[in-house]
Amino acid sequence: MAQNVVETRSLTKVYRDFWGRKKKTALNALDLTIQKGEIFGLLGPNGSGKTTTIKLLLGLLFPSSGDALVFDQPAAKVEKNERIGYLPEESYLYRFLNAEETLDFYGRLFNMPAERRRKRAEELIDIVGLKNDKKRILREYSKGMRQRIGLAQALINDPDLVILDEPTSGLDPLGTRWMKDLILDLKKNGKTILMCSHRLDDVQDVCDRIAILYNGDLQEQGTVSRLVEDQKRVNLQASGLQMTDALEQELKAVIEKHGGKLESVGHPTTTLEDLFLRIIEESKARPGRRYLPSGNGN
Amino acid sequence: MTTPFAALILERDPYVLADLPGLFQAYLQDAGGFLFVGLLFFFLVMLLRPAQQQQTAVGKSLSLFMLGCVAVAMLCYAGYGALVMAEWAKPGQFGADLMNIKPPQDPTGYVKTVTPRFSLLGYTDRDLPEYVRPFPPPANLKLEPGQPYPQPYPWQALLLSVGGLASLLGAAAPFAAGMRKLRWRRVWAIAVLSMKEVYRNRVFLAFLIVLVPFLFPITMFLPFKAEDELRMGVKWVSVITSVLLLLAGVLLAAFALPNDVKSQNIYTIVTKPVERFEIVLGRFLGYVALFSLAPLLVGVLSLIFLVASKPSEASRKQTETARVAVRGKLQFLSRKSDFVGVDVGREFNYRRYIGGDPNSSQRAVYQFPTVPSGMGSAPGQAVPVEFTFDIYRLTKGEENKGVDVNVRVTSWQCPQRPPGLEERSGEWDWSDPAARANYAADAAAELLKLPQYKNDPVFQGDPAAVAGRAVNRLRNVTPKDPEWAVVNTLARKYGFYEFAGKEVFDFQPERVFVPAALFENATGGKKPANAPAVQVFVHCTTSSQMLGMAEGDLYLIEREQSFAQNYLKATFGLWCWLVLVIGLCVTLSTYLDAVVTLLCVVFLFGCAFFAGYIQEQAQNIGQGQSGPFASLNQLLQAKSPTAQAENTAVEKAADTLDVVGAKWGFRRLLNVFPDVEAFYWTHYVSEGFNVSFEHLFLNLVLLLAYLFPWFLLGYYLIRGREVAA
Ligand SMILES: Nc1ncnc2c1ncn2[C@@H]1O[C@H](COP(=O)(O)OP(=O)(O)O)[C@@H](O)[C@H]1O
Ligand SMILES: [Mg+2]
Repeated sequence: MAQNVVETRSLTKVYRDFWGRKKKTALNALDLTIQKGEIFGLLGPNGSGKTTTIKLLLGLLFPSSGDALVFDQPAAKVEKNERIGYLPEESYLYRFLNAEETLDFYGRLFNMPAERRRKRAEELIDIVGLKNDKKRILREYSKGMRQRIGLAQALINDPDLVILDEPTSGLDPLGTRWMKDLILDLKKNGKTILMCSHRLDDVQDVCDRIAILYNGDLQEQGTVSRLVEDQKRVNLQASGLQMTDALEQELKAVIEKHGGKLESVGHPTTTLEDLFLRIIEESKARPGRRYLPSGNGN
Repeated sequence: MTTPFAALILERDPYVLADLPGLFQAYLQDAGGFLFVGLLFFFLVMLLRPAQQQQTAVGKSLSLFMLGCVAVAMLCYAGYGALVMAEWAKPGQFGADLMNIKPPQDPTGYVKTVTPRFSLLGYTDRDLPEYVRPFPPPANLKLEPGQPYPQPYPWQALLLSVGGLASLLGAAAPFAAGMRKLRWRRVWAIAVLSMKEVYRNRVFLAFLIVLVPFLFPITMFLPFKAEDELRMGVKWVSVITSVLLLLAGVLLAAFALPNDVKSQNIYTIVTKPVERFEIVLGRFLGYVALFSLAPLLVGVLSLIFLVASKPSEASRKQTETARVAVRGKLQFLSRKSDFVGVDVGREFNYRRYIGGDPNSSQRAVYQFPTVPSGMGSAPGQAVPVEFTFDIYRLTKGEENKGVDVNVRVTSWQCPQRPPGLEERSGEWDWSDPAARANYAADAAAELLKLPQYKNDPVFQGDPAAVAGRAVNRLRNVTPKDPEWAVVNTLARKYGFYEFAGKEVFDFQPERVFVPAALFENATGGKKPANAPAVQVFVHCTTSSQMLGMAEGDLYLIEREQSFAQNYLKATFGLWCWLVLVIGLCVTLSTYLDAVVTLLCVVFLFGCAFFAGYIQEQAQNIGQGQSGPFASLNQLLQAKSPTAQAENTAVEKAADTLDVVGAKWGFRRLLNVFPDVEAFYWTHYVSEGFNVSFEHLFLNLVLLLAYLFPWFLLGYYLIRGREVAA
């Protein structure tokens, strides 16, 4: 039986000012359930209430009405935090600490004994690839490096539920890829992941299920494959031939015969992300590769 | 700012262990009252803000307990209110109105206008029996002559205490329950983080400013009289270091939590299994640890600095010591039973005077309820009595000449009586004349045992005359004289000693030595409970001079300790101040913005220095001075403030509101201020008096007691706070 890791029941958040006057309804009667072991994506444009949802689940904000339950406990319960890892939108950490000290500090907050703290920190620094920079203070880190140490900090307690707020923001495509792989790895290890993003490709690549928020309202919810797949559309791809008018005519005829309509034919395009990734991979494989203005890049 | 004379002006008794029960009672009443209001507010929020409810929810059994406590407290306060009403209707029947007791009118005592801030009563139990008086004095209360003022059965105090206790328990229950979840590893992690932050951000460099003044010799700042050099040095160093350290403490502590919230670092902390209060406690302990070394370090450095600046010999003699003083109560007595000392009408003078004349019966009597047992075996068989008197000249006396003073010291075994109204002589006599005769005879016999008196013709002949001469001779010996042994022998047997003709100068500390054996006599035997163990009678024998004194002006010196240890002990007071402001900053900033916190704490701490003044104002309302409500009434009716009161119903109501409301309000305000003066020991050090560990221990008690309600407030505030809003 699938277990609900996160559950919200008509969760509503109204931001109010000091005098109790309404400023903004950031979230409106949200009903969500996230099951154990899945990657759940919250999708929506800026200001749609994604971060608000996450803060409500973490107890950083209190709901105006409705319930937010995590591991079947109210979000305000501190005990649930033992099993949660959280990466904030911007990773806000103490800039005067270095990577090692940061992880040690957060380890202490989990009441972890010294030996386990040390081992876990070493492990995580390895995972997030900051081995060479672990003695530098965070003030000197770039945005991407801070995101990495932020992730390490979120994983210090080997959490069952990982909550990531815009995990790929500020990362280069390589970092994005790395982050996505890491998220998939976590899933493989049986973790439940809740992430939010405004970048569709992120969500599409890793999430099992998504919810689309717009202006505080839930617009759409379901598995990615179901939401994205288009039943009445077919993709063809072939190799070893050149495109000719004759070919196009013939294809058109065949498709129309089956009641369809040919929309376009042409060379396949790679996405820029794919291209970028391929180039970096090649460069790693063959150091000294450079771009030359003429010729084919060799 | 500076005192022109070498005397410790004790504006208040420091707290001693014996005050603890009274302090505790006052604490229950005052802190309990505040917590009661806090609890009511808590339940109000719970009712009105259901959303808040689940966040700050405390569990069913706990909230039932809290509700029970509130109910008990409500009953108690209602009972108290009923008693107050009944008392107003029928004065003297239901116990004094504790809300409106008068302050002690004891101008000669330590001026006890500064009273425990915690106390709703305004006074600890120590003062209560004497001073509890209903106010305003009920017109229809007629006392028979000699009938004691009705001493109330303390129902009111009891009800207030029980109500306070219930509120305290109710408010502290969730806190206590939460404490079980507290993990010191987490608290310590946050404490260490706070210290690292200061260190890594180089904030500590700012502390070095504290050291700048020490680059210059103290005499560069202000020219002092030679004998004041060390005294003023101690004071100035204390002012400079306190101000700078307190400023640093306030700035660091006030910004810590608000910065965490603003930089959103707190997101990653509260989403760990951290109890929110652990953050408050961690920050507090971190800064306290950081600042704990500072006072001691600054203390050692400034001590070296003071010694290195080579103060004058005269100033070292006055200041460079730590006298362990035994203090007594002062009474003015004469053959007239209503004598209370003479008020010479000097402004700002809390001293009272006795008239000088050989035949005057006026005495300033210092009564010591008990004396330390070790005094009987003081080194050199001598115990110094030190005093500093004010001379008020009725006629212009000779220049550079002091006045003569007789100092008589008696134990409880040697009671004295004033001369009768008809007697010509003003001399006080022994209550038991036979004992006096024996004393004189023994004096002669003992003196004649000494070789130099054996053949002295003055001490031959009529035994009564010889005895008289012997007694006279013994009124002028010092511990160096061979007669000192005789004096001790007599004191041991009779508990009597007198030194005659001590010349004293205006505000100059002087000493007379008392045979130690007198204290042996005082500690032996079965002393009646209410008799003072030792009394010191001061008699001024120079005509046309008045001698003025207050309770702090004469004391026995039990022993003298080193100046350095005293100096360092006094830094504990500065530490207490630091802990106090850090505690206030951290707890207030759980809810308030950094700058607002800063202002609040500066206000609280600053006003605390004027608490005495505020209290005086509050006491005067209804006694000549009109309070805010009466003034408002006058303003509304466009009357001049000097207009005759017409005793209309409105005016009466305004007066009552003033007395009850404004005075009550003022006192509540005083409760909120910390009792900063209780932690101030610099004047002890600068005047060369030892600060006892007992006083310091009570400082610690006071500090924790004051901070506790603030921490409770912080506990509720941080739990109920939306850190991401
Ligand atoms: N503290 C706040 N006070 C008032 N409004 C806020 C606050 N935080 C967020 N909002 C508003 O709530 C809406 C949702 O914000 P958020 O959840 O941060 O969006 P997202 O993360 O999807 O970009 C936005 O319109 C934002 O302006
Ligand atoms: Mg967001």
